[in-house]
Amino acid sequence: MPDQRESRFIVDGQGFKRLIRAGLAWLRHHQEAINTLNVFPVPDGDTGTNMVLTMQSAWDEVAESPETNVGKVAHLVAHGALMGARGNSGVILSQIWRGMARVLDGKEVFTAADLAAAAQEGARTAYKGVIRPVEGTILTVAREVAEEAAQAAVQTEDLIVVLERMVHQARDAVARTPNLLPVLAEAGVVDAGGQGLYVILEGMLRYLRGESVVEDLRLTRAVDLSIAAPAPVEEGYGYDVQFIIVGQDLDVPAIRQDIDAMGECTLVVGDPSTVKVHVHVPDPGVPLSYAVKLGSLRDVVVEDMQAQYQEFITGREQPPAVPPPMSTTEIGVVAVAAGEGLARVFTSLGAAAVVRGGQTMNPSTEEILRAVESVPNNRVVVLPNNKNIILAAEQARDLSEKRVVVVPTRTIPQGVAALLALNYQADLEENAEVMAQAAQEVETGEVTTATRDATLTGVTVRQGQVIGIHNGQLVVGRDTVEEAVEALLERMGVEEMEIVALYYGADVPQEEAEGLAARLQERYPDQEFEVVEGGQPHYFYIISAE
Amino acid sequence: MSRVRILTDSTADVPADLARRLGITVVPAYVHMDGRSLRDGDQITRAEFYRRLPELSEIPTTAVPSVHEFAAAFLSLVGQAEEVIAILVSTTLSGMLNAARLGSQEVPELKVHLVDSRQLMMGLGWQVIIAAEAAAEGLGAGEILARIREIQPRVRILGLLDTLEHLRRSGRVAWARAVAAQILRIKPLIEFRQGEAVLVGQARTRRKAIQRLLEMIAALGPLERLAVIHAAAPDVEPFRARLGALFPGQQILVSEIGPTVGTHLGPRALGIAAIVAA
Repeated sequence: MPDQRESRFIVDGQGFKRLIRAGLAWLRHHQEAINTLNVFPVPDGDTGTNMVLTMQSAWDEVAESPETNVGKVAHLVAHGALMGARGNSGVILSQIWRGMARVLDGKEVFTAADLAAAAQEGARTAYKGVIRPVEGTILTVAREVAEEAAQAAVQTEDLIVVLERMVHQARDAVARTPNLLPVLAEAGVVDAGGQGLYVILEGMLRYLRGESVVEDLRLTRAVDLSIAAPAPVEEGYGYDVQFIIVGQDLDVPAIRQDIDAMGECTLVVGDPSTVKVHVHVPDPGVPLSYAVKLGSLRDVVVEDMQAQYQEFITGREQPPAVPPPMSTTEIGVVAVAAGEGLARVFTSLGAAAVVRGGQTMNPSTEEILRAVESVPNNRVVVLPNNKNIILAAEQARDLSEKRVVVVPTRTIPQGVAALLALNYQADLEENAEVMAQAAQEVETGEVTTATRDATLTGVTVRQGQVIGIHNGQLVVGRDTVEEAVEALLERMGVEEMEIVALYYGADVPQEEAEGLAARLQERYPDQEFEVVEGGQPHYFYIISAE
Repeated sequence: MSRVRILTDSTADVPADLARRLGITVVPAYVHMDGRSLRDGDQITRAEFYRRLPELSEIPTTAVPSVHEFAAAFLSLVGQAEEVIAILVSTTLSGMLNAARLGSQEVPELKVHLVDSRQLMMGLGWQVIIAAEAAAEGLGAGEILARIREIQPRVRILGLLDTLEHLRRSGRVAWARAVAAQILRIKPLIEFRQGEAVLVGQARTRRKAIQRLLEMIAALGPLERLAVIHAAAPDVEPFRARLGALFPGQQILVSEIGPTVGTHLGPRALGIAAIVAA
């Protein structure tokens, strides 16, 4: 039950915290249901999971905070959501919190009018965070909810009433998303991100009303999508230290400079009231003693990296990375890829770091940011290699002190093509153009299992069938992997191509992939077939043809 | 009779008819393959070398001509010229210049100027051709040497390899060794800088590699000299035609890369050696 201070009319910092927790708990309760709201019948970046992980990161930022000023808590929430943002819906959600925090800045408590103003700024910020806003998504839901809140707040100061109307509006807006976005109607689903926002608001409302929101906040902390191959730990850099400094008038650039001098892999981000620090140091006492003089410390985590590294390398048959052929270059490339094999492909072609993630596990903004900061280069190209990771990569770009461009690659073959086009002599902007162009000049095929019955762009598939996707479009459904690959290759116009690479997934034995390639080689004698271990989950094959 | 004659080694890849016309003396290098030592040019043709290269179990090795062979070459010029300018493959790559120096000491009656070209293939070849042209114009050794020094910084060699395999196996190039675990087959784009192969790009297909190469060549700007260089590449003519479209009116020489360098580049290597405008 809400305590008595959390009246129906004002919410302070602690009250806001509890609302966040309730929203997270209710969202987690609906996580799987939201995951199934997938336009594509493929195992894809799960929106429910992405939003839960984003909210979890927001909650982790405030969980231990005794702060009562609602403006300060809102900033912590926004910061946590920003760093933990995964997938497009997660990034947009983090932007909503960011806009809200801006309006709540300096406020001890919020009223219904404040909530309405914050919701409106949240929606505006979310729209601005997307280059081409699409209606019928979480954006539409956020905007309509904010408009409803504004109207409600004129009529009542009762927060429960205002939130009730926001929740109702959210539900209606979600229900109308298929009218606005034809692909949702075709797939017979509502927008998953919009549904997630609705559920979060409903969880908050249930909490205010004193209803249950199934609270178990321990379960989801485990998803760890760290950088694929940590560099061997230099002797003397034994500890991974993370903490948050809470204080006043904190000088972020000065702190970054000081922390940077203490160790490696420094990440210092934040604002004058809250600074998040992540650094590798030989002695964890040094940064901690330094920071404690600046303010109070929160969420202190100290880990022994040598132990972690040993664990990492002993669990692996192959060496973690092939030395890049061009190590003395000025532009560093950070690629996102799932699977050891794909990570090796990128490092063998000169990528400076690979962030683990992809189709079914979208890395967070923070993970991408950390990889960007970890490479020795001051100019960095990020290859997201998935349409649902592009926004988080752009967030990381905006947060980094380095000069960063995101080349919006949507598939692994596009990422490989872009990386190959990198011209180490050219500047960053020129490369962004050349690499984006190169990404368009490769055909991508993906072969996976249909997660449900579906009819899309005239192709009907049954759940469990093997489906082929060409450049993001569902084109074939077959009963066996081999049939699907053959039909897909035909659709890809492979007889016009020079070289075809089959990246086989974690579930495909090497001999099977080689057997298939041999049969394809017979059928297409003029093309060069290559079999490469991809190790990606869920996808039998990722195919590149050019 | 011109007073100055030009001598080089066969890694300059100056086309034989042009070398004859300009009176250039070419001392052939050797290639060891299949247990035999063959003289570049007359004991094995380049076409034959590249045809056999992929089938050889052992990597062919190459050898510098003997001091005696250089001495014989210098001796043959006595009476024809007062001075000889010997322009040879980069000392960073080969002991050719040293063999030539020792050879020249056997022929004291001839004044020999030794020049480290800091280049190979037609990067060396162009220096030789321009020097021979200058000699034919009647320029003295000092003027010719000054001209060579003047063009040396403007020599550029760019090209693509059909596979990284030969360069990697040669063990001569550190970055190529480092990609021993090459996962995807790529066509490396390389530039020779001071005789050293530097990776400047990568492409998956030959078509894309040629496209990238042409873009890089176009970026060199106006050219004084241009040669297509290749190792039995099947697409020399279309490549030359595209270069012609890029540089209208530019004379384009075609030079086949000799076995000494070709063994490290592999068949189907294709590129250009140019002197960019001053």
